[in-house]
Amino acid sequence: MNATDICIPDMTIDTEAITKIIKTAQRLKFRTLVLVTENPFETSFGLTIIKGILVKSESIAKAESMIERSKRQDKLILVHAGENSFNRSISSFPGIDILYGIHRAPKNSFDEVIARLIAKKGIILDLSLFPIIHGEEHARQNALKRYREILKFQRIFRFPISISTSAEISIDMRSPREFSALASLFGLAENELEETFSAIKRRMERPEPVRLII
Amino acid sequence: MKPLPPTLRENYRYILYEIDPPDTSLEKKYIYQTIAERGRSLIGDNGFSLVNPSLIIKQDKYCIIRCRRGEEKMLLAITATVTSGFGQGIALRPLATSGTMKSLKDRFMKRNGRNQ
Repeated sequence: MNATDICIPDMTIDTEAITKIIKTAQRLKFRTLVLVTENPFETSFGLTIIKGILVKSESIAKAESMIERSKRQDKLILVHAGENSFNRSISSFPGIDILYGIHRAPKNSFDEVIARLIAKKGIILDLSLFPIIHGEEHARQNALKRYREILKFQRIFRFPISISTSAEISIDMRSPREFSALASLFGLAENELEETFSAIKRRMERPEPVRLII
Repeated sequence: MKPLPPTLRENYRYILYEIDPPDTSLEKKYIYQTIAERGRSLIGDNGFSLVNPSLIIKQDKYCIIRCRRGEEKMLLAITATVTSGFGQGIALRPLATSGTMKSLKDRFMKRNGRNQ
């Protein structure tokens, strides 16, 4: 199983803490780790580390210019989900790899139009386990409810999904076995989990679209 | 209530956990209290009683938690939601699952022996 996790370390943490995250990922038997950080880190730990960048903006124009800039850096581009209109517009913009943080987006922020769009473009929808692990009462209930609804869309439109801990520090990370246990709470089957683990790798291996230069 | 005869008793599964960070000084009863609190919050009293977890051993950075057979996944989900115990940030990392205490204890001893 090519287990993959996405970690978003706090901007303030140092290189040592990032190394600890990488070592924990290796100990928990992850094969691939997406690290969203600007800080430098060592990469010689025997697992594939993919650098990511998180685009967070409420304005479409700002988000698009940030994506344009990020495209040149050869990083995995994650865009923080927002309102429905934002998600629709941003999903049709080229260059996005992952739609992230859907649990924090407002109600009705995801529908069949977005599901169709991301399925067509191969954009991954990330389901973070963070609200399930750390959340209490309503936050956790809402996340579970939303993920169940998203899974219904996913089974119809077949868009790729990924599951992550969104860990800020090494203690927040969980093993693939725990991923399976937590994902079963919102109805993700074992075979579907394997697909979610390989979604990022498949996205990275996807050939670049042909560009017309006039 | 009179103890059940062996054939009517429930079967259990035992999960070996490593406590992260290893220098956590939490006592056994506090770890159980944290698990119980998080478990009740996640699956409610009825679900928790079905899983029936019990902290059997805590030695250094390892502990063994017992649950009803067939409920291992739910126990893993509960323990995955343990993020702190009495002010300390902790994580319980599952290492191995077994149907008998003996085999798990052997593994536990092997690991302890190797680390010392």
